[in-house]
Amino acid sequence: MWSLVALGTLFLISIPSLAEAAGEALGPGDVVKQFVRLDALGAIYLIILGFLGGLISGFIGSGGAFVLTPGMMSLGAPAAIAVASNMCHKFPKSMVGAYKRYKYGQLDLKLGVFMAISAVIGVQLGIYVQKFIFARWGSAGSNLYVSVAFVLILTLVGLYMLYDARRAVRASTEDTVSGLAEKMKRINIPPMISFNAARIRVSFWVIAPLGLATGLLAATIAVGGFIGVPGMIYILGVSPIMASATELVVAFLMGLTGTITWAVSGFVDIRMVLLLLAGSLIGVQVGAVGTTYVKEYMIKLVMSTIMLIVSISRGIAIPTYLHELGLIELNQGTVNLLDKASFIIMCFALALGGVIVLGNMWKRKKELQAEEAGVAVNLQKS
Amino acid sequence: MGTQKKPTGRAILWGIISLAAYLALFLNQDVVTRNFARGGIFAIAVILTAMIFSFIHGAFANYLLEALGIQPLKKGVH
Repeated sequence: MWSLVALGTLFLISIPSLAEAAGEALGPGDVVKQFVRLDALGAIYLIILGFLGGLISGFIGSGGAFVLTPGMMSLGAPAAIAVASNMCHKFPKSMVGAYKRYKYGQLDLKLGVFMAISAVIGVQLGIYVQKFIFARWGSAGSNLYVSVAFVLILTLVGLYMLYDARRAVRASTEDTVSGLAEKMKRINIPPMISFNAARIRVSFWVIAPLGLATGLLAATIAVGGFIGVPGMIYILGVSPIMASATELVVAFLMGLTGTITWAVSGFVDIRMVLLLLAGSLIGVQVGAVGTTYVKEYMIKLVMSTIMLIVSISRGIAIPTYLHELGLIELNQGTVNLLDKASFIIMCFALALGGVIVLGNMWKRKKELQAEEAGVAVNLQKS
Repeated sequence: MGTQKKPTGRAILWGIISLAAYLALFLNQDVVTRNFARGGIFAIAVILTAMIFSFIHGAFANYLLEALGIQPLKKGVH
């Protein structure tokens, strides 16, 4: 209990500078308060984007921010408005998703609170790193650092997860067991904390650094869930379905704290938030239902697929930053082309994730219907 | 699962409430956006609005999915 209190105190100390609580670091030039005109097409675009982001989020616990923020910017919203609105859309969506998955018995609230509080503190450390890099190498240097870290981390973790999911597929099992997590469970430094729903007992000194690292990376590469979920699976030994559900609690708290800061400064465009929610509140519940249709390794498969495609998208943006730093020469046409290609690939990652989730639900439903029909025929025969 | 009554009526009711809430906000979007952009104490209004819409539209989405037969297959994961 005292460990939670200590984490809570540190969390409260961290609150004053939570502007980048979701991780997106903005330069002074990006902080423009200007609201876009929304037409019917723009509204439909936001609803569809919200649905896909919600679907992925409900299924793997995170995802969406990487495409929702640039998606809003493509409608003409300044970066600060897009980041603030994404943040404000994230906390209700995560709340609904977390509630649904709690009802399915997939959520460990205590684990979620521990991870969320330590991650929010980790975000503060990440912001210091970001500010240091920004002060030293400016906007392009900071973007280059973020992109390189993003590509490296997401590629490595994504490839390992994909390999691991394939192992489970080949062995025809529900999931694999993490050797590292087994070792971590043997660390008996007090205080030891039991997480009953997740069925684990780990040292505070294992979980706190994991949460901190998640937050630190969230502040750096802006996709904390892509680190938090694999961390819970491979370091704490939590099942993928439980880890992805618990991540929604982390997303809720990060989203709420971030929203408070941005909304106090008046940067949230509530119209874009509500249009995103119009799609995502449906999507997140479909995604949550989807987790009850699939085997555990499917979470790893979907997550790793998205991570790898998104890292390609981010990798495409690297030459632009090298150009801005004067390290290579590119003409404006190429820069624009790379920019567009990067965004399209991100949308593709989101859409592909959605197709995999819905496709697997559909397939399983058909199998069950066929099984039911088979049973009915057998009963008639007998 | 298949024998449960589908909540079509509730889905329609919450759908109407949700649509009305969206219409009310978007028909007054200039006033709402201008005030919410003032920040400060208006942050509470932003958060409350997001919460209220997520409750209304979330309830609609829940009943809609149930009415469409999109329901969980099993309780628990272990």
